[in-house]
Amino acid sequence: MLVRLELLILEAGLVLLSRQEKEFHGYQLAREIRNLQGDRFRAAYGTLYRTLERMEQSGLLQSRWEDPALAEAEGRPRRRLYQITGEGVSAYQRTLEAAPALSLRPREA
Amino acid sequence: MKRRLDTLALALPPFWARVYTKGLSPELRGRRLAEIECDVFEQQSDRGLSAPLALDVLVAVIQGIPDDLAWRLAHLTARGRLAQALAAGILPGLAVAWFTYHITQRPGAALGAGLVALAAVAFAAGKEPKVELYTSETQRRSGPGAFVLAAAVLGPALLIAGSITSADYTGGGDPMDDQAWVEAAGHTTRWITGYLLSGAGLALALVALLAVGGGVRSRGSRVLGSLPCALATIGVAGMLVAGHGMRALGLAAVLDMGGDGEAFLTNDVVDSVSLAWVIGGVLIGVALLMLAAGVWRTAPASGWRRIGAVAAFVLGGLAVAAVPAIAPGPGVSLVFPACLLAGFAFLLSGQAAASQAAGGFTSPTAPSPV
Repeated sequence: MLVRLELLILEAGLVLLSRQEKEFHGYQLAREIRNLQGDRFRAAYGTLYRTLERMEQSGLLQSRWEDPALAEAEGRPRRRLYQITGEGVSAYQRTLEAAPALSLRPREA
Repeated sequence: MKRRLDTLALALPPFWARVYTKGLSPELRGRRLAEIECDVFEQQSDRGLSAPLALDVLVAVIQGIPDDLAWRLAHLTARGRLAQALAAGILPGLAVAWFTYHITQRPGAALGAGLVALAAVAFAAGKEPKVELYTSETQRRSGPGAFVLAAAVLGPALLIAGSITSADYTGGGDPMDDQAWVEAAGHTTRWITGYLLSGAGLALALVALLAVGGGVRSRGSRVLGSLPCALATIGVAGMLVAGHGMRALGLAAVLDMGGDGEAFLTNDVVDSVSLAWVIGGVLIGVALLMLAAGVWRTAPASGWRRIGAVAAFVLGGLAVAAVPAIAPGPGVSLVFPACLLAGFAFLLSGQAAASQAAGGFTSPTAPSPV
C-alpha cells in the first residue's frame, strides 16, 4: 500500500500527464494536489521532497535536472523534473483497487 | 508591511535547508538546496497578491521539520549519525538514572543504568527511520508545530523545575522555614514559573501526541491509537492541575495561616497531591501498556526491535505507574517522554526491512517512464 502523500503525488502526476505534461517539478505537483483536494493543502517542503526522493529510490518516479541554459534563459532556478514510471502507475492502480475511496479524482459516470 | 513579511518568509526555507543539510555531501546538499530554491521561486511567481504567502511558507517549513530531520539522519555519515543518536539517548538515559537513584540511592548504579539506557536508545535511534509519522492532513498540520513548541518550552521548564526540589519546598518540616523560604527572593516566582512552563510544555507535547494519535503507521499497520494518547493526556493533565494546583494552594495557605497552613500543607495537600499523582501515573502506565500491546499486535518490525519497543513501553508503563508511590516529584515528567522516545526509537529502527517484507515496494533496477 502507498502512504497517503505517495498516492496524492502519483495522482497529481497522472493528471498532469493527461494534459501532456510528461515531466513536472515539485511545486507543480504540490499545486496540482491542492487543486485536486479543493482546499489550501500545501505539502511541507521537507515532507514533499523526502517523499519524492523515497519514491524515486523505490522506482515509482524518475528524475533529472533540466538544461541549465533553459533556466538561465527564463531567469529562474533550475528545476528538478520528475516522471512517473510504469511501476509507479502499477502501484497507484494496486492501491486504488484495494481502497478506491482514497482517490481524489472525480469518478467517471 | 506585507511585502516585507513575505520577503522574510521566503528567505526562511532556503535558510533552514542550509541548516539541516550542513555537513552532508555536497551533491546531496546541492540537490536539496536547489529544489527548495526552485520551489520558493515558483511559489512566489505563482501566488495571487492577496494570499497570505508569509503564513503559508512558515507553516510549510514548520510542518516539514520532522521529515527534514529524518531525511538528514538517513543521509548522515557514521560519525554524524553517532552524535545524533547519542543526543536522542540523553533524555531516556537521564530518566533511567534518576529512577535508579531514587530506588537504590547509589550513584554508581544510577550512572550504570543511565549509560546502558543511553547506549540502547542511541543504538536503536541510529538506524534510518522509515516510518511515516503523519498520514492525515489534520495530523500533519497540527503535529509538528506542536512538537516544536513543546520542545522549546519543555527544555527550559525541566531545567527550572528540576532546580527546585521538594526539600526546598517543605523547608524541612518547619513551618517558619517554609514561610521564610517562600518569601525569600524570587523563590515563589521561580517555583510557579517552573511548573507553569513545565505544564505548558507537557500539554503541548500531548496535544502533538494526540494529533499524531492514530496516525503512526507503517504501510498500513496502525500502531498508535487515539485512546492511549487520550489516557496519557488525562493522566498528565490530572497530575499537573490537581497536584501542582494543590501545592500552590498549600503555599498560599502557609503564607496566610502560618502554623495552620503547615497542617493544611502536610495533611490535605500532600494527600491530594499523592492521589493525583497515583491516578495520573496509573493512567499514563495504562496508556504505555496499551501502546506496547498495539506494537506487539500490529508493528511489522521483527525480532529484537519489536521486543525492544514493547519492553520500553511495558517497563515505562510499570515504572511511571509506580513512580508516584516510590519517588513522587517532577521526575515523572522525564520518565514519560523518555519511555515514549525509547519505544519509538526501537520501533522506528525496524521498519525498513519489515515494510518490504509486508508487501512494500521493491526497487526495480531500471524503471521505465510512462
